[in-house]
Amino acid sequence: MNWGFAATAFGGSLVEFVEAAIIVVAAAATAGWAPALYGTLAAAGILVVATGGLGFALLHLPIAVLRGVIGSLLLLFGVKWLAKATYRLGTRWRHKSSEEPGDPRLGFATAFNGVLLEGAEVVFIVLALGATGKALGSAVVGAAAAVVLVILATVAARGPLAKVPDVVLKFVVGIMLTSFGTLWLGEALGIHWWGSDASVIWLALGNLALSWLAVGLLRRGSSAPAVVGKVSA
Amino acid sequence: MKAVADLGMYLWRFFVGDSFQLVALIVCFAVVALLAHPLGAKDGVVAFLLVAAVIWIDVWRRARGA
Repeated sequence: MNWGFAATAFGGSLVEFVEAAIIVVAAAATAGWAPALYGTLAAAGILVVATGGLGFALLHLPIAVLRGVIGSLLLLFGVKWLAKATYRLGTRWRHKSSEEPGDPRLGFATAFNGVLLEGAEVVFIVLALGATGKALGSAVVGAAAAVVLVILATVAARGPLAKVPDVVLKFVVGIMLTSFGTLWLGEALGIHWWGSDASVIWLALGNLALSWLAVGLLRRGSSAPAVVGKVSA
Repeated sequence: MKAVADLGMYLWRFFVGDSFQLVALIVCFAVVALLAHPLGAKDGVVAFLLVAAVIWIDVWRRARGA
C-alpha cells in the first residue's frame, strides 16, 4: 500500500463525491429518494462497465465534451427550478397547498447526470494515479474510503432535509444546479473561472443574492398577506 | 428500452414545451464563447451575470403572466 497515493486519491475523490452528493440530495429533495437513487445506481453501473471494459483507455476520452453536455442539462434544470421557486417564494400568498410535486423522471435524470460526470472524474483521478505511480490498488482504496464517507454523510443529512419546506428546497436546489451547470458548461467553453472548481461557491453565493433580491422585490410588490404553510414548487 | 424512450420524450417536452430558457441560455453562452478570449479573467463574471439575467427575465415573465 502506497499511503501517499491513497491520500491523494482520497482528497481528489472526496471533492468530486461531495459535488455528486449535493446533486443527488438536490434531486431527492424535489423528486423523492427512489428516482434519485435509481439515477445514481444507473450512472454508477455505466461507470463500472465502462471502466471494466476500457480500463486505462478511458483516460483518452474527452472529459470536456461530457462536462459541456451535462453542464448544459443541469443549467437548464437549475434555471427552470430557480426561476419557479423564486417566483413562488416572492408571491407565496397565491399558493396555498402542494400543487406540483417534483417529477421523478427529472429527479432520475438530474442524479444520473451529476453522478456520471463526477464519477467519471473520480475514475480519471484513480486511473491517472494508477498509471503514473503504478499504485492503482492504493488509489482505489483512497477513492473507496471517500465514497463511503460521503454516503454516510448523505444518509445523515436525510432527516434534517425532510423538515425543510418544499419551496425552500427547490430554491436551494435551483441555486446549486444553476451554479454547477454554469461552472461546467463554462469550463467546456474555455471560460477562465477564478479559483477553478472553488468558483462554484461564489457562483452559488451570487445566485443566492440575486435570487433573494428578486424574492424581496416580488414581496414588496405583493399587497396581499402571506399564507403560512408548506408550498410546493 | 421503453423507460429510456419515455425519459427521452419527457426531457424533450420539458425543454421544448417552454423553450424560453433553452433559447436564452444558448444565446448567452454563444456570446460568452465569442467573448471568452477578449474578456480574459472577466468572462466568468459575464457568464454568471447573463445566467442571472435569464432567471430574472423568467421570474418577470411569470409575474406578468400571473
